[in-house]
Amino acid sequence: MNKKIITISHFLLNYGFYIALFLLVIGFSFGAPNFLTAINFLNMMHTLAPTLIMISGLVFVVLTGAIDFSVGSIAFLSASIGTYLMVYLDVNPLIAVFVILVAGSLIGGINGLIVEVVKVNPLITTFGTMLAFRGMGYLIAGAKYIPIPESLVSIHDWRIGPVYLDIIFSVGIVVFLFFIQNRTIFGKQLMALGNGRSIAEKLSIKVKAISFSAFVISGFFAALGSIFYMAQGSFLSPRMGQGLEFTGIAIVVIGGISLFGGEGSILGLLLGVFTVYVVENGLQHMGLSPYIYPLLRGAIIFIAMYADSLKTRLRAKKLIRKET
Amino acid sequence: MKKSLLHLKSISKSFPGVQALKDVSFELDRGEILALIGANGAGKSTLMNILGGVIQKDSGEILINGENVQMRNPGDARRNGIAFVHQELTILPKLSILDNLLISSFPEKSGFIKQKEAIQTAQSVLERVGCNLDINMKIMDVGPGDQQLIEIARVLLFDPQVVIFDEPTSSLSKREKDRLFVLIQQLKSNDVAVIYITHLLEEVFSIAEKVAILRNGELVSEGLLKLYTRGKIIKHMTGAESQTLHKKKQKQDQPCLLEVSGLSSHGLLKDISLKLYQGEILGLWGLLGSGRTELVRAIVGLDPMDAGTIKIRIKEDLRVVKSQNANRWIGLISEDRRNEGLFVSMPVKVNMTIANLKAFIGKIWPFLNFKAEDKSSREYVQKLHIVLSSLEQKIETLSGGNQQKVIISRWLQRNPIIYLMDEPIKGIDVGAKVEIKNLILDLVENGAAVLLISSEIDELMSICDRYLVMCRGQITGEYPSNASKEKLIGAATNLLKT
Repeated sequence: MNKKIITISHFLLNYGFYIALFLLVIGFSFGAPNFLTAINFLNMMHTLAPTLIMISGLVFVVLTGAIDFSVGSIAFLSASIGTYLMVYLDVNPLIAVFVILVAGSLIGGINGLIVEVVKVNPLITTFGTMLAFRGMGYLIAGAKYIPIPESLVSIHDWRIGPVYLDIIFSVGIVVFLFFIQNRTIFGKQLMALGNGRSIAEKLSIKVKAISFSAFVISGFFAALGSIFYMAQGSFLSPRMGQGLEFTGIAIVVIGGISLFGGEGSILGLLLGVFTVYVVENGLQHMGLSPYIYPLLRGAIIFIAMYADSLKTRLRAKKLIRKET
Repeated sequence: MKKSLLHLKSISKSFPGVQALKDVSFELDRGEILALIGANGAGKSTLMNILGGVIQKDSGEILINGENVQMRNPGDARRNGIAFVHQELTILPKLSILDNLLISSFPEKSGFIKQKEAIQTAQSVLERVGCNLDINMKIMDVGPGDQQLIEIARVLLFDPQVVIFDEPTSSLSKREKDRLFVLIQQLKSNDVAVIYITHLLEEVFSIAEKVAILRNGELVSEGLLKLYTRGKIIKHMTGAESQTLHKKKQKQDQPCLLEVSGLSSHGLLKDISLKLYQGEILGLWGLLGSGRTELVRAIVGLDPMDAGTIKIRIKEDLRVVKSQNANRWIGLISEDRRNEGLFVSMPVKVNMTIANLKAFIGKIWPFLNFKAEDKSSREYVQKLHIVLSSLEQKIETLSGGNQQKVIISRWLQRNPIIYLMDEPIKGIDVGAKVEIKNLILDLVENGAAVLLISSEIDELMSICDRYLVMCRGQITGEYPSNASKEKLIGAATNLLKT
């Protein structure tokens, strides 16, 4: 009897968001005839690709059991550095792109150092650096919209057949990271760390190095995403990545990647990002007030977090039962 | 001269204030199973941690195949063919069996895992330990017995020459235990030497062929198992001099303050009934994991109970009380002082008054009266001779004995009639132990009843009026104050039937 309840609730917790996504898609396609079309689908992907890239590295941090609130600010700061170089110092965009990526990794490394060497709780660390990095970005580029060179904007329009390049690129990154997660020693040790730091230490895994690398990866992909984000808008926006600390984490959690670490697949990111954007896109098509989006985002974040904690709680119950 | 596989030569180790190992030597050959036994704190774990490279020895030598080797870390031990199956499993609950098995030894090529080879290795080693689970299952969906087997399988991947098992059966069912023993016999037939740490004598006799007995850090006896009887082993474990001491007389006809009947919980506790009388110190003796702590936790409602009733004497009458409410009359002193007993980073005063803040609130003015709180705290500091520099001192800076006194004084302010004390003198220096014991004696003198748990049997025997012995979640015997130490130890290891 008890067992049955657990399996049903487990099913819902594990696949609930797939079902919800499916129902949403059906609902919206009735409400808005243009919603369920290939073009709308591709457009949606095109819109969300930069965000997807930005948060793809964040998943690694979450898998270690830590958190990175500063992804949005890392994106903005590294983009600011690159823009400054391109616009004010006339640096070749290709070199600027390279600088952006290096900057992102270094900035991520700062988070890693504070967490692993100075030993500050990751939540506090990245909450602090989230503010600090954005402030540094403002100092460099000013809190204004700065148009970026045409050559960089054009990557937004590159496409293969009907499919935009950034779509292929972002999905490719997720698949690549999935491979890293599951088929490399690094990926396995990362998961081990998320399962329990002290156990991982006993298994002679270099936990500090792994955790540090996760922050660097998070920074790198935040910076990579920022390039596509700028191309999308054709300028550097002072609001780039704002709010990503929460939307990003909500997306991660919806994707079934536990905030407690050590569990989940990076492929879940696709599910998460779709769920969030399908809701917004669907509402747009139905012509609802845009002021309702924040409310809905809030609700989605809440539901995702609640489901995550429920999953853990159910598991604890199950474990107790098993142990006896 | 024949060189034995493993030769420990006069190993010594001391920790601050304690000589944990004194000049311990023994040899072990291929295909031998040695049972390393001794009471809690006899030095078994220290010795094996030295061998496993977890801690460093002070002096002595470790010879493997006649060669002197250094064990600076667990990696050194592994390279020298020594594998250690810890009592606490080092499994990663949310990962698959496959990942858990190979986490420190994935077959790889420049960081990339060779998946096919990995699966093969994992499957073959799982087969070897007789576990036929799907390697993609997550560990948390696997029972504790299989988890243990997986832990052992991981160790076997290194082809060890010596495998150390530290109390491997504490979480296993009968069937799983049998499977483990078969596995150990297999290791033996593959010429692997096994060191088996335990304090359960029945297990010793069912698998070992050699035995080494430690007491207070010294190797007191060693040899072929067939030369030993159970009695002889117990005697070596406890020391030859068997003493039955006691000074306090049992008072007659005291009312019963606490009656527990038919308490069962989760299979951890089976049908436990006990009575606790006024003015009595009831010793609850049993080995680690026998259910002692679980019992006191269940009585005060910290753990759920499946069946049973708790009666407490309230206003001259034994009344049934819900365990959730039992803490109104019962003071619990937890075994885990740091995590469950204290707010370590808060001042002494807070720790003292936290359970009784209502006493310092005015009837009309609903805020704390700091002066009264201070006064009361100071009173108890004096009464219990707690050594501190100020009431505002953080409690973690006090010594263990003084911390324990603060906890006791916390309950004294509430003045419960019943005290459940789980290892109240653990980790306390000798002088403070006497003081705490005197406090306990004072408590019962003033009409309280105390249920006392301690792993240190001598301490237990110095003040208790009566003993209950627990083994595997059941009460297996009741003994008067003049019972002998052998009897108590025997009953806890379920050997001597009375």
